[in-house]
Amino acid sequence: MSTEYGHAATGGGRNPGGAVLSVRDLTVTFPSDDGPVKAVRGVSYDLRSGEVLGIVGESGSGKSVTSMAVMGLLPKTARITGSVEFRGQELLGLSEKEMTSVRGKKIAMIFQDPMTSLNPVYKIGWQLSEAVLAHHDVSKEVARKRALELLEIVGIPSPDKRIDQYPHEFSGGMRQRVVIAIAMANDPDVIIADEPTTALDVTVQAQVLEALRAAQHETGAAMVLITHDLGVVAGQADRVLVMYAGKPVEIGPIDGIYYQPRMPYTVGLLGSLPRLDQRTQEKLTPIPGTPPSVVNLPPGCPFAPRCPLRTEICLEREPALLPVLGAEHEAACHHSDQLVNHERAMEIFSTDPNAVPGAGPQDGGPGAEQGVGESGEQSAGPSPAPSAEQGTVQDPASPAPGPGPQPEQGSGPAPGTGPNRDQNPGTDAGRDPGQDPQSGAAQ
Amino acid sequence: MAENLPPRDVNDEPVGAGRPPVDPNAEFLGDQGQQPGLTIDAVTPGGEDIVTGGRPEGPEGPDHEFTVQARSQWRQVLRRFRQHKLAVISLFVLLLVILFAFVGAPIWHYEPNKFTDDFSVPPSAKHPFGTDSNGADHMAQVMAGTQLSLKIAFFVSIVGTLFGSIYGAVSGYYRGITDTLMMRLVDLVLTIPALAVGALLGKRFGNNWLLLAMVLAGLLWTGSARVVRGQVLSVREKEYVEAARALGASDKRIIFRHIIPNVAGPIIVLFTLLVAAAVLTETALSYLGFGVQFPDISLGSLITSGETAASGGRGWLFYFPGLFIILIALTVNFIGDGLRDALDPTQTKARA
Amino acid sequence: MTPDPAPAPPPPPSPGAAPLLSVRNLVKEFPIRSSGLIRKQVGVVQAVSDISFDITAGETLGLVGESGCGKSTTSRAVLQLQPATSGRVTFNGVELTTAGKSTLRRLRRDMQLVFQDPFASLDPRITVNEIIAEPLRIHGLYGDKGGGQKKVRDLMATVGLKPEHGNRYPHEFSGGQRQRIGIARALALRPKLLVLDEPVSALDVSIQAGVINLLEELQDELGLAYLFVAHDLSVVRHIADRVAVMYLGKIVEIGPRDDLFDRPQHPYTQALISAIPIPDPRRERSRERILLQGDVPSPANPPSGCRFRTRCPKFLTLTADQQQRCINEEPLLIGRGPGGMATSEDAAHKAACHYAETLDVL
Repeated sequence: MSTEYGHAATGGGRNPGGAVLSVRDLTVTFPSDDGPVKAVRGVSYDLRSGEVLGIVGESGSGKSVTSMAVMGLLPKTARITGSVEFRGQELLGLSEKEMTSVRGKKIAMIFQDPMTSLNPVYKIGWQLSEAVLAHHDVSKEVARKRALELLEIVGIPSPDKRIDQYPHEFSGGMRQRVVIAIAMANDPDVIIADEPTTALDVTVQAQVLEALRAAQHETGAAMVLITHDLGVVAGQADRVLVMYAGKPVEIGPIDGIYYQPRMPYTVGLLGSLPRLDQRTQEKLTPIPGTPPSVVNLPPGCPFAPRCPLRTEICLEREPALLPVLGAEHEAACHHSDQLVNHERAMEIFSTDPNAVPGAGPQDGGPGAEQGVGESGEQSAGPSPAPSAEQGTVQDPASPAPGPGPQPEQGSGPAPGTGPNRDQNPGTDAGRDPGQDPQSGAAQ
Repeated sequence: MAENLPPRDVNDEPVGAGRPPVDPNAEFLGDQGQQPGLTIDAVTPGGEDIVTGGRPEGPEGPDHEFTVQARSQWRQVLRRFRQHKLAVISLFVLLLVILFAFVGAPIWHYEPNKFTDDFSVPPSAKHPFGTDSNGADHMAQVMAGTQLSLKIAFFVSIVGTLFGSIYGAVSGYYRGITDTLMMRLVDLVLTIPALAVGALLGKRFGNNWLLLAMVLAGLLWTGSARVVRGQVLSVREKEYVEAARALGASDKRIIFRHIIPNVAGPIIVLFTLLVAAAVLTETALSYLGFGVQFPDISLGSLITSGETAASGGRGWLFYFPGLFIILIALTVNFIGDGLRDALDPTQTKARA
Repeated sequence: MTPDPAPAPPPPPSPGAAPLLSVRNLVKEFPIRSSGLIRKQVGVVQAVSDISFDITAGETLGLVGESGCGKSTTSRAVLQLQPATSGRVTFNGVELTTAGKSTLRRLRRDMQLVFQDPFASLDPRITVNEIIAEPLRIHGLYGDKGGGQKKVRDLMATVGLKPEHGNRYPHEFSGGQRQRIGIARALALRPKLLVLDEPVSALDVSIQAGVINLLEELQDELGLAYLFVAHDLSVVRHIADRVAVMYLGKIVEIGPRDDLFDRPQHPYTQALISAIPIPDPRRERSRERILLQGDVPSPANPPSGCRFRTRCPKFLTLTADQQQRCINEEPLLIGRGPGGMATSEDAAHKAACHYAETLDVL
């Protein structure tokens, strides 16, 4: 079920001026007890008419929040800055009433849980007809006919029976297909699908993806497909935006991202996936460490603590998204040139805890002592600041001063020593056990 | 074992690197470090549902999604409790009441049942709460009454909650026929009119506060049993309980090691509510003449004797014990409220 | 209950030949009860119906299928966490389904479970040290304080955790670290078999790879056998030696990994494999996808004959006579030659389809 939408390796070239949805410098901040949560820290993209833009990232990367902000679906506590333009109309700052006229009609949203969009007390047919009637001046019979048609398109078996049933009589996959049918009835220009298949089984996922494709084909809408599944994106998207810690770290045509990634995170992500089509038994290449907290991010590249290529500059300055392979493919990495011809994860990340990182660029640099291999993750200590440690149980009232730097002060002491700042014993001696297997668990 | 897996301390917490000291009192609505720009409030009715409920993968609730490392659980509880102003004030007031009763009584130079020469004097510097018609110092009486009322209340709530919780935990854990039988017994106890039985038994044992407290505990434990059973029914399905079973843990170990600690929140709240309930029931019984009896003094018995005095123009004999009853019941209830909110992890941390 | 013989474990008959775990004709039924006061039983759901498989020491059997196919129930029934309705589970030569409570308790040391959800499977009120120490304490192996603590520290190091973090609580750890804690707990008693119930599906991709590698290394070093239950075929392809595919409570195909993935015989296996997206845009564009119609039927009322026939793409291509066979006759799980011809009962690669045919869907 390959696609009829362009897949040229360049991926672009389709009238850049024809952006239906244009997001610029979008930031979203939530207040929390731990400090402002900068869920989205400056996202910009253009969605061109008819294309499918995949947004990938792990949980906490801000991929969902971005779309919720576009749709005006965030709680009032969220602070949103930047600009979201739909065909030249600014959406941020619209009143709820104005936003309602945009939602559904011009931009349709499909959530992971279809019951968010379905009303449990009305029959499927009624809900579909309502959507049809809202946009077309037709009789109820015609609307019902159209509703049947739509159910057919999204692949609901025996739609004439199903149309008079309630949502709870449908399985999860069928509900999701009904939601897609409703989205089609609204004839939107943009469909935003937020993890539409995450809760579904693979065979059902295939059905839903097929329905999504049909919907996009029918309406000619552009689509934003948000998912953590790199496989789904590979089969569906024309362009891909990779997010990490609230920011896009790489954007480009699908083939460019998959075959010529220019950001170590993308490389690592692809390398950590087990492949269904791989016969050889290579070890997977995990990315050491864990994603950072977007509360009080230290300066520098947010991926630097996990990155085998990191150097001093990575810890000081956050790289901007710059063109790497033509104007279409942009990456945010100080060292993306080092990835040319080293696009396989195992070339830069090590799979063996004891190995010296292969492409560690600066010998002796932080990259060399970076925890690599699968156990690197463990060192992403559970409790971040020394102050937030257990002591709090016994001594709850103490304000717990900690030596951690105030990251908001960008001019603070150079963070290159970050790891050592933690009080965890043994941190400084980190290299020794790494190179001396005998110090491991002796049993 | 596992030579290839040395304990590695290399790379360090990316999460933790450079986290600021935690200041429990800080307000985080500031926008330091943000670019100036269009700042609006997102408007969304119903948006809240989408964000907070039902979508585990969804927009990152500040906690797990961002790997904001949760602080120690009890510290969070304490901090949330402190945000509940009324509960904090209540705790303070209750402590004062306890101090007044238990520390005040020994140092106060009058004794409750000792007559002085001042008959029925209104509150004054010498007798801050006045005296009764026998000349007994009313403040000393209130201290003694508060002491006894608190003793009864805490005895009842400790015994009642303890018994009720274990009863409920066992019932919920075993389910099936055990559960059915045990809960029918609870229903039976619930149908017993507490006041009537209390009156009946209290009349016989009224001069022994411990027996009275046991009677009350025997009547008031059912609430805890029901609530704890409900909680246990959900906790017993948790994977960590299954994990313990897979390890071969005995039922006793599972109940006491895994289940009860995990329903501690509701149990603490039930405890505070039971304190208030016990004070009020004891007061009611004593007022009806079935509770604490002379020479013991409780707040309830003080009110009884003060009632007629109040209509005779000596209101202090009625209002002071009444005030203390209200203080105890109210503060304990507020503390319970605060604890319940503080222990409820679904409380959102974001404050608008 | 049978009285326990001496505490000495029964000697495994001819080591090497006998499988470590042997499951025969396992059936697990759940009663359907009417609502209301009496809650009379009105029927049964067969979550697992008549499945058989073996696991030899040190090997990994992947058990895959979609939600509701009975794979998790199978894993619980194997461990006797849920009593099987009928059938036999033999572990190391001991019949588990009839074993007494204390025999079972002793055998629990040798077979442990790792859960899917690292946020739910660790008691939030207990420190990591205590979580890992719990199996040792239960079985009286903790020893004195120093010895016990050392064992716990060693276990933490084994799974790649810092032993210094042992007195922290589970919620202070990330998902991947928590899963490591769960693995350490399962390893504490030095089991021979680990039942892994979707051990990585709750983890982010960049984290999941580390846990998979850890499991592989542990298997190499400790000679563990794994029953790896998962819905993610990519992970199973990576880690398993043999794979069993379940549909509606039955194993429809079982075989050596590469054989099964490269030459799947059962139409359901073929559809399942073809539905998995591959993170490779060029391949994705050229792949044929077998789309299944409709949903999985209710296990309370499974189709007669072949349970997959209601959704089977192959079924639609058959003649009426052939279809009748699918409806009337339940296909056996046996070795199949061309056209679904039965070849051998103990072939390595077996499929339960009358018209099994190899198809490359990758």
